[in-house]
Amino acid sequence: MRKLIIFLFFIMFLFAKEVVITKYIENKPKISITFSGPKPVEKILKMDFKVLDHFKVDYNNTNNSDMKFDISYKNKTLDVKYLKNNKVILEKKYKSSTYAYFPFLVHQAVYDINKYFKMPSAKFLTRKVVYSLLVAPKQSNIYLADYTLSYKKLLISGGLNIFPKWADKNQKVIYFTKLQRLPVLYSYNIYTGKLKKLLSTQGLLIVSDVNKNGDILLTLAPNGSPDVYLLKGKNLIKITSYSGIDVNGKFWGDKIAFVSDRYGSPYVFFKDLKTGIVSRVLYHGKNQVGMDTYGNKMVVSSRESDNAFSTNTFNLFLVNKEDDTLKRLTFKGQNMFPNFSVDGNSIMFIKRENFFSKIGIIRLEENKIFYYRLPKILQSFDW
Amino acid sequence: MKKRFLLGVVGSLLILAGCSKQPTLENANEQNATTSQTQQVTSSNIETGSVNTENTNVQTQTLQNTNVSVRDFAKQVSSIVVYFDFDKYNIRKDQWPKVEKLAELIKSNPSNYTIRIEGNTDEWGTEEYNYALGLKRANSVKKALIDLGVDPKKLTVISYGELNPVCTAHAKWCWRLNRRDNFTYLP
Repeated sequence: MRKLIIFLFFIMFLFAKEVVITKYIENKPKISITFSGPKPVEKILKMDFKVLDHFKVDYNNTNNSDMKFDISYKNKTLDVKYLKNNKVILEKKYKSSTYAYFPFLVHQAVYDINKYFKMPSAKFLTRKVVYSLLVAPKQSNIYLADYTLSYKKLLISGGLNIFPKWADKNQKVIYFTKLQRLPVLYSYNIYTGKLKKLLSTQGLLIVSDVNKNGDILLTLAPNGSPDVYLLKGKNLIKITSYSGIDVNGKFWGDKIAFVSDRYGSPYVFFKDLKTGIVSRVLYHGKNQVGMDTYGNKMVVSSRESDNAFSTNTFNLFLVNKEDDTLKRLTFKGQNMFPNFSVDGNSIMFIKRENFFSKIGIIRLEENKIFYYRLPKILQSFDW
Repeated sequence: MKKRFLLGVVGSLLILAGCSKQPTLENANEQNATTSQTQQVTSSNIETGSVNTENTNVQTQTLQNTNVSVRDFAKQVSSIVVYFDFDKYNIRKDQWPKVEKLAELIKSNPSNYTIRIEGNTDEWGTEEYNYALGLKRANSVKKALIDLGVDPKKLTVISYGELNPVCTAHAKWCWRLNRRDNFTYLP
C-alpha cells in the first residue's frame, strides 16, 4: 500500500493543474428565486446556494427554470413557497425566537430544497460549528456558530477553555478542556447549559475524536509524555507508548491514526489494533501536523517547503485507504486544520494569509473550494 | 505505574459518574432541544463561568530562615525565561546557565512553595500538537532541575501551548520569543 501511495503521488506531480476529485453534477436543476426581506438574510441565502453548487440559480425571475421559490423573511420567520407552473405546491415556515438565529433558518431552508430535488447530501449546511478563540493571553472562549460563522454565541468563558468537540451526532453536547491547576475535561449541553466535570489528570487532557458509538480518543500525559488513549465506556485503553509526542488520535476505519514526532518532526502514523503495528501513512513533506479522518478517508496538512516560515508552506492531501489513492486538494498557501463534515463530502479548513485567516470549504464531489474571511484566528473548531 | 494511573482515572470517572448533583451554570435556561425546522438555541447566560485568578495575586510573606522576601523571590523566578528552537523541546546549550541559576535559586530557598513551569509555543502547528510540545518543554526543564538537585515536590508543570503569547506580531523574531518556558512562584 505504501509503495502504491508513493507511486500515485509522483504520478500526480507529472500531471500538474487541478486533480478532478470525483464526478461532477452535470445536469444541475434550474431554479428561480425571488426574495424579500433584509439584505443580510439574502446574503446568506445566496452564499448557501453558491457553496452548495447543486443548482443553476436565477435571481432575476426568468421563465426557463424547472421550479420557482418565493422566499421572504419577516418577524423572525422565513417563509418558503415552492411553485410549479406559478402554483404553490408546498409552503414551509421556519421560525426562531431571535433575529440573530436567521442563518440557521436559511441553511435549513436550502437544505430542504436540496433534499426535495433528491440531490447529494447537504448536511454540512445545517451543522453547528463550535470553536475556541484566544481573546487575551490565557483567556480563551468557546463559541457556537453556523458554518459561515455569521451567527456567533458565547458558550464558555473565564480562563482557558480549549479543544471543543461535539460529543453526539445531534450536536447537543460538547466536550472541552478547561485549563486550571490541572486540566479538567467537561461536557456541556448547549441547550440546557448543564456542565458536567468528567475527568482531571496531570499534564494534558484533550478529546481528539468521538465515534458514532460514543467512544472517545483522548490525548493524556500522566507521566509527562503525551500518548493517545481510547475511552470505551468506562475502560481506558492506552493506544500508543512513546517517550516523545503522540497526539491527535482519530478513528480511521478499523485503525487509529495519530500525529507523532517519533521521526524527529511531526508526521501522521496509524496503529493497526489487530497486529499492534505502527506505520507511517504518507511519505511526503517536512512535517504533517494537521489531520482528520472520515471512514476510510484521511485529509492531511503537509508542509512542503524547507523553510518552516515561508509563504508556500502547507497543502492538503486526501488519502483513501479503501482504494489506495492520494489526491492533492490545495496547491499554494498555508492550508491547515482540515476537518471533515459530518457526511464526509466536505472539508472545512483554515487558510492563513499574512495577517489574515480564511475559512475554506472543499466540496469534494463538486471539486470546488470556497473561501470566506475570518475575523480572528481560530484556535480549534469542530463541525 | 501505568496500571495505577489507569485505575486512578477510571476510578475518578466512576466517582464523577456517580455524583447525583452535577455543576450547572447559573442562569442557564432549561429548554429541551427541538429537531423541527424551528430549532433554536437557548439564550442561556453562560458568562457566569468561573474565572481563575489565582495566579494574579502574589502574596507577600517572609520565607523562613532566609532574608529574601517572597515578593523578591517570585520576581527573581519569573525573570528567568528559557527559550527553545522551532519544534524542539531539548534545552539549548545557551539556555543551560538560566536553568542552573533557577536550580540554585530554588535550592537556596527551602520553604514550602511550588514553582510552576509553564511551557509555551509559537503559533505554528495545530493547537493540540502545540499543547503537547509546550508540556514537553516544561518537562525538559523539570527533569534538568531535578538532575541539578531540586526537590521534585517543589515542581509542577503546565502547558499553555500557543495560548499565552508574549508577542503577537506575525514575524520570526516574535515567534522566537513565544517558544519559551516561564516560571511562576505558587505559595
